[in-house]
Amino acid sequence: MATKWQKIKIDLSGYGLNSDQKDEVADLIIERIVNRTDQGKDKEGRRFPGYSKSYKESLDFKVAGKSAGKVDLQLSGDMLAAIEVLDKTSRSVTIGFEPGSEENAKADGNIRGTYGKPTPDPKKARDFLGITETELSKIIRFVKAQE
Amino acid sequence: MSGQRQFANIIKKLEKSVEQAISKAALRDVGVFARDLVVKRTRLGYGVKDNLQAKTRLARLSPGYVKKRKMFDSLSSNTSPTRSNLTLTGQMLDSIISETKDRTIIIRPTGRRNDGKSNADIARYNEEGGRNRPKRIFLRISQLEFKQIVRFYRKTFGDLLRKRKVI
Repeated sequence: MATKWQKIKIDLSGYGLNSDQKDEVADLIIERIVNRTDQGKDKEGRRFPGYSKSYKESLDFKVAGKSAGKVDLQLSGDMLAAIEVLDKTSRSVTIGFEPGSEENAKADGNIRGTYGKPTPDPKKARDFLGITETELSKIIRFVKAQE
Repeated sequence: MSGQRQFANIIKKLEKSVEQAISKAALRDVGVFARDLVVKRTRLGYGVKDNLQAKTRLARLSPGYVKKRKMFDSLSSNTSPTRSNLTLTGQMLDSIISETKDRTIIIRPTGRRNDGKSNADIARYNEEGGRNRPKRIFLRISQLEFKQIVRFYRKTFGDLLRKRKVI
């Protein structure tokens, strides 16, 4: 199965945000995603499944100084650094990865649990790309409070 | 000079020195973070041809050199005979430090190795390549590493530190 373009569209209509505020919200959404992933949690706040035995025993795992108990989806750190604002309209922002990029492929492997295989495995999936309503409301309240 | 003006001057001086101290501390920490990124990426087998470009796989090792590495007793545990990651004993990458001079961060190999050669010379030898030896350029910062450094700075010293309640 081909790699999917990993992106999320977030509806910001109805909050009365101006253009700068939407930029700020988008920036904070990305930061929230990166921080939550760094804490080992998926987009719903659930713990990521553990790393496989073979990955934990790999040379990449060792040279990157990773710890077996900390599942944070960071080997080089490039995948999370590659999350960006792809589009902004009057009603929404789209956040995700550059289509066709190596980082999009890595993200897709994690999100769908494919990891280079043709079939997704939901048990192994680590869907980090998203934000809950509660998280979004908190960010919007924060941005609006700075007016 | 009035007491009020004198006080204002003291505050100004204090602000300046605090600002400088923060900048120095920030630069030092950012330097260490950047150094770690360069070393880790190289150990993972990637180089960066020029600053702010994408990382690329380091050129493969020649079969002859792989054979030599298989026989080498002191091969670092951070590599394997076939892995191209600028690691044989590991001394060159281990020697890399970051230092700050005049608000500039310098990341460079330092010191001498067990065999008496300088680590800087070994790094140069790898980066420059030769007639039958590909260049393996690694002492650069990639675009995504730069983003990681900016985020580290924002989170540790900048605006994201103030916004941590929501992130």
